[in-house]
Amino acid sequence: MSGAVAKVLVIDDEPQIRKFLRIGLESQGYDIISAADAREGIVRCADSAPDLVILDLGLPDRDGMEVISEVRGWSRVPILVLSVRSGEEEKVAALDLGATDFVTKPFGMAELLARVRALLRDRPRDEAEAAVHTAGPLVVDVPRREVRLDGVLIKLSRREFDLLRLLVMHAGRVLTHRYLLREIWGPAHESDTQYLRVYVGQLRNKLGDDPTRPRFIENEPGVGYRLLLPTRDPHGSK
Amino acid sequence: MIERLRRIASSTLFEVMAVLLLSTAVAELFRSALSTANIALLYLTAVSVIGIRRGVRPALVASVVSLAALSFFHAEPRFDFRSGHPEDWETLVCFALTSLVTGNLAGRFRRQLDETRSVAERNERLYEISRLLAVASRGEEIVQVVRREVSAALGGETLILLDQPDGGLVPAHALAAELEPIDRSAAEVAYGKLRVAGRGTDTHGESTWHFLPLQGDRRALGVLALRRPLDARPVEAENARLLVALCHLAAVALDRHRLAEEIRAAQMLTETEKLRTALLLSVSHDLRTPLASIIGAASTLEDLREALPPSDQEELLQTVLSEAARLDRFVANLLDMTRIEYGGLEPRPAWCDLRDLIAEATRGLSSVLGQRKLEVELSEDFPLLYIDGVLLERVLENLIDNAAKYSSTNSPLRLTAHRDGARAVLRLFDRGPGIPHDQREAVFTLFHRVREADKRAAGTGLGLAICRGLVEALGGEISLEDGADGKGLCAEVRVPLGGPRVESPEE
Repeated sequence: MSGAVAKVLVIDDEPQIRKFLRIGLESQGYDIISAADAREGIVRCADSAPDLVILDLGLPDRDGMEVISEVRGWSRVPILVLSVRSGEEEKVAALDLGATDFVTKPFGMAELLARVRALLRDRPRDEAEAAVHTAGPLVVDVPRREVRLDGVLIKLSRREFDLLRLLVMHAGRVLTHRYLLREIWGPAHESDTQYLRVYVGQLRNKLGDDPTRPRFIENEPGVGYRLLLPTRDPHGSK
Repeated sequence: MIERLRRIASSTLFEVMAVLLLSTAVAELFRSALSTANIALLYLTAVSVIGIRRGVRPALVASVVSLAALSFFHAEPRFDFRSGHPEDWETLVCFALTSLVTGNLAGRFRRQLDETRSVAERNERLYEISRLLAVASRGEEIVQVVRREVSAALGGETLILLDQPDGGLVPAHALAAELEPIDRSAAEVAYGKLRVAGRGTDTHGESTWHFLPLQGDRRALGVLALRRPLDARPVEAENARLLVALCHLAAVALDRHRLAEEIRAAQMLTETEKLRTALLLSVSHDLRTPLASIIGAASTLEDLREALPPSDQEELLQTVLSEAARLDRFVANLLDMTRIEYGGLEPRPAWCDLRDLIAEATRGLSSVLGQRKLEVELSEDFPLLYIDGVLLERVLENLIDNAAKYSSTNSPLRLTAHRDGARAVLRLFDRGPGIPHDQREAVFTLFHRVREADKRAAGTGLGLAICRGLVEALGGEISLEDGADGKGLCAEVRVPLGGPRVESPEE
């Protein structure tokens, strides 16, 4: 983590949630700044230039969505949104506005920490795409267009490779259906999610991934996919 | 040409001429055998026939013409209107009187026959309409039948305004154009005073509509209005009676319909009240049970942490987490139930991989499933589903939760899926005690467990009712069947594959 301690800004109006996030995140060595409403959150974000913002969408003074657009006006800091269950549309809207990822409430600490790690992992890297990406036993060599699983070469079609490349470049982060479709098939196919389902199915087959207990590609219902980062316990104690 | 001939043939004048010519011809043919009196009788018959077939006026014309023909053709001297024999004079005078009387009688008979027939027809029509109204179950149907029949019987447009519980008359159907203020005033008078108003009456006669009140058993229900072309002939007395009779029929039908609605609303209210009480009881029970476990476990940890071995501490922590997850599921179920009950469930289909949904459903159930395995078997050709994945996932979560709850912790659960035509068939098998055949439908009703005062496992029994609500919203069916080899239970869900079946995406 390039020396300095990462600063995390938590914007949530529930004191109990702020407390539990502070305890959990501080235990991992992060520096925590808290804000109880949108106004304070935006001010803190401008003042202290955090490395990550954790934002609850249900704030008392303003809609969390507005906070995202306002912060995105002057900052590219990763924003992790806390959203409620069955709020798929809300999640997609937040991601479209510029949020980087989300966690569904109620969530376990392990799940939250996995997200935080994934978002901060992107931090030191600049725009130049790394040539070789690694996610656990999976190695994706972009210039060579080669994929190895436990050292064994896996043969992928062009689109399958593009899909895996996008997922592994943003490992641990959710990528929306629309983003993936646009990047791989072009803007005309933004709503053809069945393409994506078919290709993810094929890719999982070739990677030997059991979709009912995924090891690599996880489905985020109604939102998109993420490549799971290897942890001791991918689903934590949910 | 033929058409024209036919029209001439059916005209009254033609018929009068034809009958009289025929009589004259017959008289001429049997002239030697017939006396003048006999011939007069022949003409008399002809006059009667014309009277019966064509009415009074043609009969009178026929009797005058017959008289002329009798004196010209048949009375001596022939081909002269003057008559020689005094008895022929008598015959002619008698004939004139008799034929006038006969023709008149025959004509009246004809008119009465016509009237009787039209009354019979009208009664038959009214009977048919009342039958249609009796079988109409919806208010709109009643309105539609009445409008159609009134317009058919009297010509012109018909509209129906009905009163609202909060006052005011509102059209019971789509209007071609807004009503003028004068029409509204006339309608209010007809409704308020229970008498006709508008065109053809002293009240707001300037209105283009003629308004009649629809009077139910207990009170006014609304008004019926008729608008006929300005140059139309005035409504005949007979049709005016028909109109009143139709208004009466309409009012009776609408009254009956309203009464039925009120009774239904009252029943629903009672049912809702009962459900609300049951819900409150079971909800507080279902909220308290996990809360009690959480508070108990957490306070034990706080007070006795020092004294407890690490394994016990771990176990208590797991209790807190799994009970909290149970609370979360329960709240999600309550929300789903509210959406089903209030009809706020609008499926938003998208392409889904069933295996993703299974993963999502089991993710939240890790504490319920524990070490237990969920075997998943998808047929080779099982396609992507075009369905609301979030709803189907909620169904799977509830079914798996139920199956796990009612079967022993070391028995396996098996989920299979295959395609059956345009439907997907999902089956979840457990090895639990099963449910007797005669109760397999009842368990789907809301709060079945509550009603049965079932004290076995914790839970409101919301789960299966929610599953059915969700599956039906998805256009499918759910049922309980025998488990594999007749042991345990099998929950079977059938949902449409949905969507246009996809061609392979382009590489």
